[in-house]
Amino acid sequence: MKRRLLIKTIYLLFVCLLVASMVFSSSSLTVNEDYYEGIYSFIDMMYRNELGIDNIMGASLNGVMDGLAPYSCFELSLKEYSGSFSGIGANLEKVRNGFIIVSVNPSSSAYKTGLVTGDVIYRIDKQNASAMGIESFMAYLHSRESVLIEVIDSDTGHISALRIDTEPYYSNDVDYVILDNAGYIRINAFSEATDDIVKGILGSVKALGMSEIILDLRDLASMNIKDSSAVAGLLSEGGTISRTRAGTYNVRKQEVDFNVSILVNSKTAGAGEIIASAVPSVIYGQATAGEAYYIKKYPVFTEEAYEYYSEETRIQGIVGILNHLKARSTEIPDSDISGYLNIVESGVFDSSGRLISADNRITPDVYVANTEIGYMDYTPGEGMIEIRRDYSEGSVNYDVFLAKKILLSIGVFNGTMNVVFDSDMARAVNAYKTSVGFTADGVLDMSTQAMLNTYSMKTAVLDDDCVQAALGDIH
Amino acid sequence: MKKSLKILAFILPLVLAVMVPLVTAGNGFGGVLNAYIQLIEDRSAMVVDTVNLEKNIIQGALSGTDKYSYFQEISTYNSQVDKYQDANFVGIGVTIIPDEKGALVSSVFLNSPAYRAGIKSGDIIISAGGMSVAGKSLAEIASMIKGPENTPVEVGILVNGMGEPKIMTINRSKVEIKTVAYTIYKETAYVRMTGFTDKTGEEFGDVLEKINKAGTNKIIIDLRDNGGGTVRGCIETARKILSDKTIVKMDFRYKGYLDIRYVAPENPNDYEIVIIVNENTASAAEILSAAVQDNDKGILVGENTFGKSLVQSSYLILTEEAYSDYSKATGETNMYVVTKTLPRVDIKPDDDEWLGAVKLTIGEYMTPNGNSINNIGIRPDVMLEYDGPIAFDQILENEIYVNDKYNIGMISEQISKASKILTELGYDTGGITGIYTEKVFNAVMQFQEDEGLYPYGVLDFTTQYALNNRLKLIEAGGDAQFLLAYKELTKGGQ
Repeated sequence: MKRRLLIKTIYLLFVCLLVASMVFSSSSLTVNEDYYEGIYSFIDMMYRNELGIDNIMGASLNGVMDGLAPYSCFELSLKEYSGSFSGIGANLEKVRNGFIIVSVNPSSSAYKTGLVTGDVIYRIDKQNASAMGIESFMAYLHSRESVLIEVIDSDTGHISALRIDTEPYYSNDVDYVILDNAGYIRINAFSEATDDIVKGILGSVKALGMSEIILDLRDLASMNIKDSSAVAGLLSEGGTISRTRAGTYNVRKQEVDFNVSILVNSKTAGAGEIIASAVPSVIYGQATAGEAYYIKKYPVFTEEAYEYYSEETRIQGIVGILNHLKARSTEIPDSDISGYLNIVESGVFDSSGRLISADNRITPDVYVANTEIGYMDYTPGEGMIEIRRDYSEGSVNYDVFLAKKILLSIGVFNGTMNVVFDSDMARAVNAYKTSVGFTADGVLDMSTQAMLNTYSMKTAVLDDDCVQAALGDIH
Repeated sequence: MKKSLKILAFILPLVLAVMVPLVTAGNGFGGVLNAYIQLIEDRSAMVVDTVNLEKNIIQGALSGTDKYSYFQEISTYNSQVDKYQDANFVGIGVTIIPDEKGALVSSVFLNSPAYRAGIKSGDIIISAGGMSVAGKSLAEIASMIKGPENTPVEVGILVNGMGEPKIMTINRSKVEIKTVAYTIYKETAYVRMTGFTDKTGEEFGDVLEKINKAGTNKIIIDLRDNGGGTVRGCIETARKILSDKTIVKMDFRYKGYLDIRYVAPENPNDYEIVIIVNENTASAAEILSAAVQDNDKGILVGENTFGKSLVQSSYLILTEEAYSDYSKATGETNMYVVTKTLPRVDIKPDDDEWLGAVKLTIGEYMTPNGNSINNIGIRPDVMLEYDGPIAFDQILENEIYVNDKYNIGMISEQISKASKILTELGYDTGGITGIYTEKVFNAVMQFQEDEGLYPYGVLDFTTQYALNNRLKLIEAGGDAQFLLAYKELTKGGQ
């Protein structure tokens, strides 16, 4: 009995010490609560527009994270605008001082205005974008015909103000075109569906009996580690794809039926670097950015909600409360959340276990001096035909003009360049349709338009030094 | 062993339940802030900057506001007060921009110690008080140069940013910031306003007195590139030209601030006015422009204005430590003030007890007709785009300072200015050197003959005034917006 009591006492003492050391050593950083509450209330009372103290508090977390990786940031969850669906044609991710451009869609407003991957939009119509959430930013764009954005140039750090038109937004996470002996795939952005899209494209390439893939990851700076790891998994031979504080992304051993060429440049970061490292390939272009972060998103409770949850759960600390709610499958209603806190919790280790960093850039096997993406304006069509309906002699439409341009470059049209479907155009359409095995009925139907678009994009994709370098090795 | 583990499993939650409430997080918004600061500290891959935490939090808190609202360092706040409220500061009278070699002089105030010492814009200050200023921030350099009135400071200067440094000892003195200047152009008064301080109304009043004496009531007010300043300076200026009219209406969000309508009382003076504006005419300068336009007191000529009608105010904030000390000592919690004395408790904290200030957009003004012009600007009555130099600024830079007579063999900057004007007029002075050569003598004599003055080759006061008058015509002739304003102002009258 005595011995047991002794053991118990020792255990208890040990536990007490352990708990005490945990309690007193962690979370030493605290601030004067009245002081900041007073300042928040003051700003809320005086500032011209109603901000709400919860939102001011959330935004102030941006300041706490000053000096940390820019992806550590607060974003508001407010959705306050509505309107027709349009955007600027750039994929964005949230950073502390605004929104970073992850990639730019071809022929988009963003592209025409000169925005490039890595630029940060930090003001929109003179409002700071730093505390805005990505959804309210997009919603704001949707409600305007044009916006004045202030942009920090990724190379020089200079700020410039640009007026940019919003346009009907089409989301192409992945562009692809079948070249003569290879499938060309460019990833613009990542979502949960991206790996399925890429899988589908790989399937159609394979169905054509091809085994060469050119995977274009240039000008792509997404920090979506999870979804890019899934894409990398499709073409990896198995093993580790990436590792972060959240865990390791592994895939089973598998046979890969493709020979892959990967295109990268100095703006390839994060997601692009994970894929380039994990997929056995020949790499073309220039050394990558060497920057990847694992970002975790936490809800930021309103003051009322925080008080309620901490009383209800008798737990102090955000992680504790969140775990408690998760364990009980309690949904947190939107009204309890003022925004989200994105915290960069770790860097990212690539497939060979190296931390992706400026010291561990991915260097190309074949250096290419010019890494500009060839099809950004879809030349010679200058924008693809918007496939909406059939055209025949007598039709008047801008699409007719675009089709004429493509037929001109193919060499079957040599009439007047205008928007009128004239007899010269009818002859050209027939000549083209015959050459691809369609019936020469004089109608520019939608499948012919799609063929012309493919031709246009193919021509543009081929007018690209990196693609040419890769194709040169494939021959 | 197994049993003790069971006991442990039973006891551990108990222990935790007892221990955890000992580190209670507080309530209120401050409590939520602390909870998330702890989350960031625990989870972030990088270490939180605790040294600048207070400033960073407040800067962050303002990140959801507009571009005109931000955190100000105490030195910025102080220089703002110097510039706009007191309209003077003690220093040597230069504005500077940090440069890799030191501080590049961007402008020198008229009649300041630096001006008298011959420092010009384009010079680089490389040292102050024997210490290098290279790599220092603007605020640091300013504090090295500034000091008590009538004390000397030794500065190292690279003339035009090149060559061997020149060491100069300059006496610091009060530098007044002037925002209003005028000249008489033909039969009209041409008034230039470069900004608005609390002293601008007074300055404008002095200028009007001189204009009245000159016997004209036609005034061109040039508000181009005038980015505004204090509302007070603008209201006082408007009161001197409007009579029994509304100047502007202020609309504040905070209920403690009454929405104000500023009016101009009856005014015996009656002026005919044309205002020149451009795309950089903003804020207080737009209040004045709209007040004149909406009340049909005159017309606007030039370009659509900038469109900033939001009104800001700065509020000082104590450091967290000073706040804790003072609130404990006095029981007062309202520690945000506009002046440097804490309200009710009559304490004057030291500069290092202020963390800085928050500058906030607190309201918007409406023109007398009730229009909001934010992001829209004011459309002038007569539109004309023009990109070249502003006539007044050119006149000020090139006119002869009439103070002395000049004759053969003398050397002066005024001689080179006279030569420049003569050359512009087509007289051969043999180059612009500042030396009174025989060629200059002959050119002056020819000019005197052509102007109907006594032709004796001496650059006397009358001749210098005549040259200055010709200079005005030359410079005005190159400024399309000014010429249009003059035409509009004089077309009804004569």
